[in-house]
Amino acid sequence: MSQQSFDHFRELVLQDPALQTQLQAANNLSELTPLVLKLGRERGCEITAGDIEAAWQAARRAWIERWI
Amino acid sequence: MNSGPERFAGWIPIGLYWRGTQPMVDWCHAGDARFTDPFFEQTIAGLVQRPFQLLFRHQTPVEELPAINAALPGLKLGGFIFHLSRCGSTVVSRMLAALPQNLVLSEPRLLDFVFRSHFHQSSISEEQRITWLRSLVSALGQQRRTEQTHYFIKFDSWHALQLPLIRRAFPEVPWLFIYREPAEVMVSHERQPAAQMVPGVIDPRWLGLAPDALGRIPGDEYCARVLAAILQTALTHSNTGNVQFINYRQLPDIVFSLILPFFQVSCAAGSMSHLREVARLNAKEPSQPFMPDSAAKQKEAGERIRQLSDRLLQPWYEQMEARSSHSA
Repeated sequence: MSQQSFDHFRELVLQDPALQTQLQAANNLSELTPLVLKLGRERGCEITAGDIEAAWQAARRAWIERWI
Repeated sequence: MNSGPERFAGWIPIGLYWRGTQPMVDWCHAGDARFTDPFFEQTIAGLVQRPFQLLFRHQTPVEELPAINAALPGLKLGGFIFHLSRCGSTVVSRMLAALPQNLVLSEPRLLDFVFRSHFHQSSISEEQRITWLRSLVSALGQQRRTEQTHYFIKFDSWHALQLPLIRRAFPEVPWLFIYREPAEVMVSHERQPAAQMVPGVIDPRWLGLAPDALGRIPGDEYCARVLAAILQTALTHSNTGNVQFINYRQLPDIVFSLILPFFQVSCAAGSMSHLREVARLNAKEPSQPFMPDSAAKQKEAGERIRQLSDRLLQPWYEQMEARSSHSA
């Protein structure tokens, strides 16, 4: 369910340039996580720090595999 | 909120992949990135250092590209750069990219997908690949800064084998082919082979070889055959009048005397010294100065390389020299 919330939040972000600008300010995962939690909560998305970490790890793995 | 094609403003395709039988486009937010790194992938790798770029990327079916192109058309193409490999093409692309009016994309790897897609799915026609190529090139060439007016693509060396398709897709676009004395190119690949010199990376049919021939051809001969196929294809498709052949030894001066005028790029006197500075650096390792190495490579070329070069490459090289700007 929580992963679905993150996916839903991702869809919201990809349709909203203002939201993108806010999230792009984060320099690392430590800065990004509280932003995602706050902006997600404001939009009714129940995301946990663990969801963000899991999505981050999956995205990193996919990015590395892109070069293999 | 925007669910229309305008939501791709500032985004750029960075990869294509198969989701089942559906080709998908992977996008990254490039903003006003100038793409002045030696290669497209280096700029993208830099962008993806930002955590946002890892977690938030559009994924769209390739069929959505035409609607995105209509809403956000790319800059008009000013020219293409093809090359033999290890012959100075990156210094040319970096000099062009040093001018703020130019957007220069150097060897965007995602184009490989288009060129190979019919091997993955035999029902994909040449017309389909042409449509995808035009759409991708347009999406890649979005204007990222107001001063950008000219758009160039430097292709990977083996993409020259795709000239029949590329010329059909973009018949009006002027193009360069950059080449170098073949033994020097072979020595460079002997020192550090490029990916396309690994047998099987390029489909053997593009080289006029049977698939089962790959295991029987020695590595250095395979390298010579790849280079020969590239030279031959460039020559075969050069009867259109909008092509220039540039020898490595003419660089960098020929950028000012021929390439910029050929591509209709103006260069203010103040910018010329900047371009000369770029040319003084190692194009692929700009933190290092450029060091001429033709004499060392000629000395290093052994009997075997000389024989392969004379037999498989010199005839094409001589034809190219006869067509080159300096032969006029």
